[in-house]
Amino acid sequence: MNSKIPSSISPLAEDFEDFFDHSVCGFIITDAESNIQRMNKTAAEWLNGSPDDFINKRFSDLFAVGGRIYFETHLWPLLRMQGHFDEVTVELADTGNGKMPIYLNGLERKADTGLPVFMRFVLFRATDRRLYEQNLQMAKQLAEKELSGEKQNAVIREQFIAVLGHDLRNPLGAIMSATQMLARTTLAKNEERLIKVLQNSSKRMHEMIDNIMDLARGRLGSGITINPTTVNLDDLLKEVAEELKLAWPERIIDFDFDIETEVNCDRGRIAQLTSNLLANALTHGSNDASVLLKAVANDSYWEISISNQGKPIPEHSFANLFHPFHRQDAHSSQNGLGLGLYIASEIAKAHQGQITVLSNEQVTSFTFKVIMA
Amino acid sequence: MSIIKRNNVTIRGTGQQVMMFAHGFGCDQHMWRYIVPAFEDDYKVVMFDHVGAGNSDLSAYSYEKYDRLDGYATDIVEIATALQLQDVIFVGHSVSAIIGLMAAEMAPHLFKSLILVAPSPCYINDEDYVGGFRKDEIDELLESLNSNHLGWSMAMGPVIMGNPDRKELGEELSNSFCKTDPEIAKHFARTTFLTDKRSILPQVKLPSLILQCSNDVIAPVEVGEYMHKNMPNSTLVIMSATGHCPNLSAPHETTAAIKAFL
Repeated sequence: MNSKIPSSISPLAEDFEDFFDHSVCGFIITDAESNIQRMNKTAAEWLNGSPDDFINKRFSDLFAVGGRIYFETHLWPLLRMQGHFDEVTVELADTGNGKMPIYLNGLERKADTGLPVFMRFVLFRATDRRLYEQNLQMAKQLAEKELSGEKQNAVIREQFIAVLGHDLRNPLGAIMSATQMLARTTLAKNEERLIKVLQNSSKRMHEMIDNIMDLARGRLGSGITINPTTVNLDDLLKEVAEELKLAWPERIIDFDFDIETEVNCDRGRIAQLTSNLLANALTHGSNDASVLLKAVANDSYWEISISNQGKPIPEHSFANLFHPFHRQDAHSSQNGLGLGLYIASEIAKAHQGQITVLSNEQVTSFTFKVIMA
Repeated sequence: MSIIKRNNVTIRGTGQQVMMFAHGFGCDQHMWRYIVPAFEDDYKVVMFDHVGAGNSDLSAYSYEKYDRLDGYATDIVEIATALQLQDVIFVGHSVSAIIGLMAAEMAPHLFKSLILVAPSPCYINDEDYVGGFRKDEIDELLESLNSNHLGWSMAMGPVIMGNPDRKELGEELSNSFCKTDPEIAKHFARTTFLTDKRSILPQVKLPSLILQCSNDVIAPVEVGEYMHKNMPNSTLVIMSATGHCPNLSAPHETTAAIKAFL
C-alpha cells in the first residue's frame, strides 16, 4: 500500500498489475477447489505476510475459526449453488494484527460445461463499520429488554386495576343495599337528604367501578364482548336520554331520528356508549344550548350521533381523546376517571363500527357508525 | 402439524427402493441438487429440511428438543414412519450422517444401509482422537456466534435474494437457499459442534459407506479413518474431492462412489 510508484509508470497509467497489488481492498483468486492461486499485497499485508506465503493454502485458512467453519459450511456451498455471495462479515485470522473484521464478496467463474474454473474474492476492511453495527445490535438488544420489562409492568398494572375494581364491588354493594333499606323506613327531612347523597354518590362510584372493569377487560382480555339481539333504537335512545335528564334536569336533548329498521346490537352496551357520549356532551357543551341526539338506521348502515355547542375540543387533546384516563378538563369531570370515551370506542370496535369526531367553533359531534356487511 | 410440512419433505423419482437425503449444518435440501438427478430414475428419492433450516416450519423449533441431536434423529424416524418407508438407504451429509446413525439405532428396522458424506462423530480433539478442532477453537466459534462477530445467516437473506446468476435456479432463488434463522443457526451450531457420538459407532451393524474428502477443514481424514476402524460393517472411500461438501464440489465423484457401494 505504501510502496512508491515505480518511476517506469506515470501516476495515471493503467497498470493493472499495480492496481491489483496496491488497492484499497484485498483481492484473492482461488482455483475451483478454493485453493489460493493469487493474492494481492493489500490482503497479504492485512494478514502480516507477503502474497507468496499464501499460495496453495485453502481460502478458509485465512479466517479465524468461526469464519473458517462458516465459509466451509455456508459460504462455499452458497457459492456453488448460487454463483456468488455478497457482504458477508467474517474475521481474518489473528496473525499479529488482531482478528480484523472484513466484508467478503465472492464470485464463481464457470466454464461452458457449468463446472467452476476459479473463484474471485474481494475483501473490504470493516473495522469501524463492525463497531458501528455492534453498537446498533447492542442498542437493539437493550431496547428489546426494556420493552419487555415495560410490557410486563403494564400487564401487572392492569391486572391490579382489574382485581381492585372487582374487590371494591362487594363492600359498595353492601352500602347500596343498606342505603336502599334505610330509604324505605320513615325518615326525618334532613335524613332523607343525607340518604339521597349516599344513593347518588354510591351510584356514581358503582359506575366508576364498572368503567374500571370494562377498561381491564378491554386492555387485558380479548376486548369487550357483546351479546347482539334485535333492538329498536328509538326506544333504546329515548330511555338513555330520559336517564340523563334526571342528572341534568335543566338541559334540553333534541331528537332527530330516521330509523327505518331494527338493528342487531348489544342493547346494554349501545345504551352505555350513548350514555357516555351524551354525558360528555352535557358536561362539556354550552349550558344554554340544547344537545342533539341523531340516529339513522337503514339497510346499508346505522349510526348514532351526539352534537353539542360550545368551546371546541382543543387540538392537542385530539390524539389522546380515546385513550384511557384522558380527561379534557380535570375540573368539570363528572365521570371521574376519563374512561367514558375509551369504553365507548371499545364498544364501537366490538360492534365492528367506529366513532368519529368533528369539532369546530359551531359544533362538536361524536358519531358512531356501523356499516352493514 | 403434519410431519411432512414440518420438515418440508419432498419426494421425487420413479423407483421403488427408497433413498433418503439429509442435509448438514448450514444448508438445506438444495445441497443435493447435483446428486439427486443421478438417482431419480431408479430410486424413490426423499429429501427434507431439518426443523429450523430451509422451508421447514420454524414454529416447530424447540430449543429443548433440538438441544441434542436425538431431536433431529427422532424427526427422521417420524418422517420414515409417516411415509411408511422401508429398507431406506440413508444419505446424510456432515452432522446429518451422525444423526442418521442415531436414527438407525432408534429404529433399525427402517434402514437398509447408511451413506455418510463427510461425517464426524466428534469435532473436538480428545487425547489421541483427532477431531479437527481444539476445545478453545470451538469455544471461540460459539462465542463469535453469541456476540454476532460474524454475519452468520443474518446477512444471508438479501444476499440470497440478490442475483439470478443461474437462470435455471430462478424459481428457487425466490425461496432462497439455505436460509436460517440466526438464533436457530446459533443453537444448531452449539448442538452440532459440542456433540460427541463416538460411542455409537461400534453398535452400527448396517452396511455403511464413509465418504471422506481430502483436505476437509471440518472433518479431517483422521476422522474418516477413525470411523472406519470403529464401525465393523463400514467401507471407507477417501475421495480426491477437497472441502466439506463433495456433493457440491465433486458431484460426479460423489455419485460414482455411492453407485459403486450400492
